[in-house]
Amino acid sequence: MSVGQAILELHGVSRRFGGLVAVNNVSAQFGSGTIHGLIGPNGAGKSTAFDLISGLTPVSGGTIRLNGEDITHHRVETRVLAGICRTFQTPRLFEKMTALEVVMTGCHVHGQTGILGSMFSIGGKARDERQLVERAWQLLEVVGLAADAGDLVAGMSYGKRRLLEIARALATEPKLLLLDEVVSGLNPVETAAVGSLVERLATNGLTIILVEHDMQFVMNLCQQITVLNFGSTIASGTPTEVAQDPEVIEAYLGRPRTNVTPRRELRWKGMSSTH
Amino acid sequence: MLFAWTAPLAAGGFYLYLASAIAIYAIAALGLQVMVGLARQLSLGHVAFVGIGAYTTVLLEKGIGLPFVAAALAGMLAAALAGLLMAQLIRLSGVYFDIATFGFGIIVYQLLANTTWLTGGHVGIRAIPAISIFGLEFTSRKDLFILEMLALTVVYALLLRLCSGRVGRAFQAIGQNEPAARSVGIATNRYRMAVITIGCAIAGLAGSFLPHLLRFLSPESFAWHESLVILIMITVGGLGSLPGAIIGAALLVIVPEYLREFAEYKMMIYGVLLIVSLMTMPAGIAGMAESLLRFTSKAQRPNQ
Repeated sequence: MSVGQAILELHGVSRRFGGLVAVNNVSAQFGSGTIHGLIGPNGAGKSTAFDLISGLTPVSGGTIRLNGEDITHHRVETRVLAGICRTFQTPRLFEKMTALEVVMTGCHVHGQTGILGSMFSIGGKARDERQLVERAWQLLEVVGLAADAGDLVAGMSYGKRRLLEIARALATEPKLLLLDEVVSGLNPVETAAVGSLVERLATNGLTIILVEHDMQFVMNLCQQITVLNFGSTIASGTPTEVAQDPEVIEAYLGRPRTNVTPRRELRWKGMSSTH
Repeated sequence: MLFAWTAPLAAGGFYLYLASAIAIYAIAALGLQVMVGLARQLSLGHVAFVGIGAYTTVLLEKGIGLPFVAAALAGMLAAALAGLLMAQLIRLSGVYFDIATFGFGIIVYQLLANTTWLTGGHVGIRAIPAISIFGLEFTSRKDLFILEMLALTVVYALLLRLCSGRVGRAFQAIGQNEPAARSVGIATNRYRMAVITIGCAIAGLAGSFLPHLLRFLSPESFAWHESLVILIMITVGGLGSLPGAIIGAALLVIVPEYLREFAEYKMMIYGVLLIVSLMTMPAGIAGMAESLLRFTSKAQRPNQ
């Protein structure tokens, strides 16, 4: 690997749902401090791969290593503490909270206050809360939502929801951030803002994996790209290498000459409906 | 708060009885509010835990002469343990869990009604001993009301603190979007079990007062539809709001008392009350009051 050493390694990772093989024997390495793209047509297994890495879904086989440590069977909360956090394809927020509270909720794993501590204000609850508020404000500033801190999520625009979800993920203090179609549904201005945010985060040493349908966005940002199709890796490399790979071209555009479907409908962006 | 403490004491008589009943149901509703209103762990058998608290308290008081405080704590503990047992059902997903809680309520009712050697069955238990704390006997309605209000105030204060911090946010996160809550590392199963146990323990505390107010204890107070009444209390009052739970409890205790002639239509009146309140104020009375306050404060801002 050209940039840094691998922070995340997948070895023969599989996930079956009944007879369907969503992720089939995928092996990949994700370099520390890089922006890594995970692309592929609809149903290729990208989001399932995120579910497996973040621990929301257990693997059917294979091993997942974070900084060399086997985390295949670790709980979600253990992985979050170890530094993995993800966002969702459509933002999943807490509708009745304010933006600030959502980000404070993201700090959960780093807090100590338990049930009795909360009830009787023991174990430094007040101090914890003050620090949390301060930390949440900083993170809202990082994503550019400081002005919306007191707003209820239910009334926020789609673009702001995306940014808020990133802020919540950052609140877990991740080393590896998994962004699932983070610019889908955003206008060009919002997309550019998210792009520069992702770059800034990577510059500060955060490793980022993007599952993305917006090819321009991926090609511009990523140093490495892994292409999945039907649950298997079909290519891996720099954006230029991947774009020239015959198998990738075939997966996205169909087989040359023999294809029956008009090309126009199979272009990159034509695949961007949600699966 | 001060009014709620003093007015019934001054009025006495029937009002004092009514306020004492409200206080008991308010305690139970507060527990259910945190469990259902905040963390969205629906329980369709909540009154079972009030029953467990009530029977445990009375049986310990009558059977081995335990003083009230110890018996009430034991009642709370019994309800908490039963709650923890029910919480094991969270492995069932979604609606199956809800149905299972209903089944749990039915089972407890049947146990109370049919273990005649222990509970007296449908005949019930009479001659409820007076509350005694450190050798002092609290016999009057006034004494009972003061003790209830103390319990209500303590429960309210503790739950208010619980809801405001890290744990409260975790409960809310689970209630509003469980996968998202998991994704930031909230141990959702553990917190779900915790909130169910807390809700049930508080129901048990409410139960420990009930026989002392009624001066009689029978399984009929814990039939399945009583669970719905507590659910209607927190919904009409405003899901997720602690003051709402108390307002809802007050409303649902007072309204049927003044509609005694229509007693056979009690559940129907509850139903209409629920539907009307959901249609006119989806966020309940507390939610309505909150938005009114917000509206007036916004309207005043330009003048400042």
